[in-house]
Amino acid sequence: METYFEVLFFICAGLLFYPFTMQAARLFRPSGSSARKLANYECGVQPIGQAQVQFHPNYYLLALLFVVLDVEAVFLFPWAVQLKELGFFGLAEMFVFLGIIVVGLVYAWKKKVIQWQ
Amino acid sequence: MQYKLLLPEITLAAGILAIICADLVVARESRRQTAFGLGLLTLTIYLMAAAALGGVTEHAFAGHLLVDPWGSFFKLFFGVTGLLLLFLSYSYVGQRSLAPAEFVALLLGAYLGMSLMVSSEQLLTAYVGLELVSLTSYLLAAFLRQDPLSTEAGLKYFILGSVASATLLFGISFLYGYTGSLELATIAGSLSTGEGMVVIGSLLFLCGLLFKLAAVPFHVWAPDALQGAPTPITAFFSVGSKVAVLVLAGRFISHFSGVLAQEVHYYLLLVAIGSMTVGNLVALRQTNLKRLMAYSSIAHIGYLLVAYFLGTPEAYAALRVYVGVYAAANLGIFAIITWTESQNRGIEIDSFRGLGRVQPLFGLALGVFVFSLVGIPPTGGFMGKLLLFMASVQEAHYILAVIMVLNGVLSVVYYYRMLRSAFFEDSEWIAPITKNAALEAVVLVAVVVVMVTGVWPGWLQM
Repeated sequence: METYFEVLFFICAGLLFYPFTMQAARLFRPSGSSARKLANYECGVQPIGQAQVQFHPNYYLLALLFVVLDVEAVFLFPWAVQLKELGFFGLAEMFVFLGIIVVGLVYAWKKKVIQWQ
Repeated sequence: MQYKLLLPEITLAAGILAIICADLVVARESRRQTAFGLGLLTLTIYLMAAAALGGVTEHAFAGHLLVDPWGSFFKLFFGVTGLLLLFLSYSYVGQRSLAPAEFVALLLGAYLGMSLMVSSEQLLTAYVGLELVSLTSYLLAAFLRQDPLSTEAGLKYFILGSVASATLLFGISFLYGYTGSLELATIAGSLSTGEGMVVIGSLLFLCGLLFKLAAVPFHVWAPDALQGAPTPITAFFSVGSKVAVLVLAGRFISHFSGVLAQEVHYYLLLVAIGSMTVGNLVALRQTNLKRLMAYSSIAHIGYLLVAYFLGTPEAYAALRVYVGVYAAANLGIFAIITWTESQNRGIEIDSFRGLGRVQPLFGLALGVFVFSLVGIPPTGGFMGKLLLFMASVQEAHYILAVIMVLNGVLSVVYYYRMLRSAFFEDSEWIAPITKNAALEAVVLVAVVVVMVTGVWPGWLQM
């Protein structure tokens, strides 16, 4: 159990960090605010309307596809590094994996997920 | 070659991909035939591959995969129930114009997970299998997208199922943290010491599994999920995924020994008796057929857990017979429910009214299934219960045997209401009655299985 004291320390430090920095900042910063200062920061562009708007459901589907490709990349990088040791077997295995993902992509494509209406 | 041992699972995975690809190239009108045809083909090859591995006992893939006769028996069981489920859902999917390829592919995905679950004594592989079953199950429960009940079922199942998965993983992390291994055999060595962390880990792991089994006190999600899901999927939940979880739980429990074993067995006994009694008592007041069957399946899980509590070879032999017959009778009843539902009769007990008159085959078959579920000779259900009673009497658990018998008596009441509705009450069947060959085939197979097991239970123990 003793080895877990480090973990305990990090938990406590993490919990204390936020209130401590906030209070510390309070001591040094100038106070006072204006309407512009309270506005949302949108990369320098003036915000228009509410932030809570309806999204097109296709966003979610596209996001899902994106995640699939992301995960694929996660597997591809370590595979590429180790490819020489894995040899032909590793190459074939990865193409099976890519094949399965491509089937999924083609399926999504054919079901008009990528098409924007 | 290791891959030979994985052939049943590879077949399923290839089948799923083939179904998805075929759906993209086939004309809209023949999509249902293609999907179900490929599904049948896949499951048939799966059955043959599993049968070919029948007597093999071997570890593969660095201990991740274990092929043994106990797992192979359940793979055969999955193959057969899967085929029956495809027959059961063919007309259902057509009538409600559900997406056929997705339906079959998800169902086969669940079977892939189940197949992995029963052939692993390694917690991580088992967990991946379990999660594959769970994720596909959530989607299948919510498959009637226009139906609020179905959406509710999917959402409830998803949220509560995720909690169960988290509990299970938490338990696994305890076990791994203490023993440094995910192999059940290695963990079992440490289990006997009864160290606090191991007890907590084992209990959390078992709680997760009992939740997926819908055993009391983790059963509250089951009736809602089973009521809202499409009827063939309700059948799948009660005979498919639960059996796979049961096998995994059995593999885990059979490794217990020593002080810890007594303690955990004691909890198991409480859960078993609780499931039986609560399931049967609450079923008495149900009017919806699917809810009734949900509570009945909770009660039957109680009986099956008794076999694990006993843990003798006789009890395990009884478990096989019990599971086989229970699945046949359940699938048969769900085939009849699917048929009455397709005649626009709803899914209340009253919708069986006059069934014996308009469709005598289904009426008689309903009688056989109900007798089997109650445990009346000469049906297979009697044999399953008899073997289980004998196993518990052999271990001198007389009170347990008495409780099981009393619960059997209790279950007569609600099962009888189905029969009374079918034979002694009548009502007009307004819509023209249509026959359905696929459902009749399922019912006939189920009747044959139930009756044959009644006189010769040995075929399920080979």
